[in-house]
Amino acid sequence: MAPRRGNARWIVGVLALSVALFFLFPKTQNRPLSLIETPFVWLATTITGAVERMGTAAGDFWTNYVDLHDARIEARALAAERDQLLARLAERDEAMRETERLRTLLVLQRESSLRTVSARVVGGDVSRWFRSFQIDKGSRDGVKAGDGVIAPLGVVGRVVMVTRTTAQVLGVNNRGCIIPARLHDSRLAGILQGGPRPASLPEATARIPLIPANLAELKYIPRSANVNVGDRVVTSGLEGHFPPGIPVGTVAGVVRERSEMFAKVYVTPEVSFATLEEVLVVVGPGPAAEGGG
Amino acid sequence: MNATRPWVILAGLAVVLIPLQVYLLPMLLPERWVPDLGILAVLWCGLFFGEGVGVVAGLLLGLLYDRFTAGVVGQHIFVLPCVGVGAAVAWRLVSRKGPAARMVVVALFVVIGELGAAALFALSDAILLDGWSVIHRLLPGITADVLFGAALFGLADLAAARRGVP
Repeated sequence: MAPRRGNARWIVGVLALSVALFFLFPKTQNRPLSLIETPFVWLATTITGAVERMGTAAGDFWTNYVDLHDARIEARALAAERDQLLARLAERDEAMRETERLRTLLVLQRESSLRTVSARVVGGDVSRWFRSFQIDKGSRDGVKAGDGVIAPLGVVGRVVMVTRTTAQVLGVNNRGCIIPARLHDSRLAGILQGGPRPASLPEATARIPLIPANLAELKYIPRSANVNVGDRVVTSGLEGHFPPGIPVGTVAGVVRERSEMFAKVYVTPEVSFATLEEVLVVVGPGPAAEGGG
Repeated sequence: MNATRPWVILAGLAVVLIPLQVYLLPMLLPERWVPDLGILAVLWCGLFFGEGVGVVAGLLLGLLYDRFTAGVVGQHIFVLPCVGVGAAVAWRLVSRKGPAARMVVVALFVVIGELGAAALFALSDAILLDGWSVIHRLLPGITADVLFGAALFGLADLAAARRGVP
């Protein structure tokens, strides 16, 4: 066993020397090592790359998560801020529109030769049969039953009932509202009454569908009169509650029947009752315009 | 039952009814689907407290209605007491009382009340009761009243059943 141990020592020594010499002479390294170096390097690079990519991905994932969390918090805050700004914008928009409406009303009030009181629409009618509304001015402000009510676009209706602080206005599209009016171009005068039952119109004369709820009839216009769809109708001023020349509506249809003396002239009011918010009540003749509200 | 209770309820109705009907409901619902709270309130009084309270409720709320409508005065003060008394008498005559029977009485007297008021308005030429107004005003109105009444009286019946009141 002793000679074998001595041989082994020699062999180990020679091998160690060979390795040492191998590393001492770079030129000799390349050939034998290159065979095993390439796969080892590839393997090492791949593993290192994979680990690095995993590390980067994990880092990115965490960073993205944190960013997303922050972004969500920020988005919530921004959404709340946006809602506040939108609400503020809507308020400003509403205030601007109101200012514009009131300015138009004021111009009408100043230009009018009549004594008027401005009022705000505050409610409707208890009955579904009447298109009337409540205004916030009453006998305390000089409003009386029968007074005319106008808006910048035209005639609204007539006051039918008054309390000390409120009044009820019947729109021109109601059957109980009767106003002296005339055709603007032909100057033919008649009586405007709301709530007519529209006769069937020939195709050519009916440009718009006639809705009884939003219609009035100009009565006592001769059948032979030259009335056309689209003609303007204004107040005639024959009765004291409305000044002459205020727009009432537009002719929406004309029916001439042989058996009748007068034509049926259907008029669509200028004023949209659904969107009415402020009005002027004509409380009497006189140059001075009173500010009511 | 406390004898003063119906009158307290009636006084409360008289106070809140007009603001609800004139100012609040038109803001919340489309015009044609606004229920007539007056007729429902009178029906409530007639059905739950009898014809005495029904007729007084009809007179009081009818007066208020006539005051706050632009039509000719007198229609509501005539129609609503009739509805209150009629509903109370009809309810007394019903042999098998229950939620379904109550709804039938409510629907019947809503139709009678609405048709009666419309007919009286048409009679005084305040409105034209033609096909268009029947389809676009009367029928949606009656539908809204019956649906609202069904909800209102259904809840009342439910509450009564919970309290153990027959």
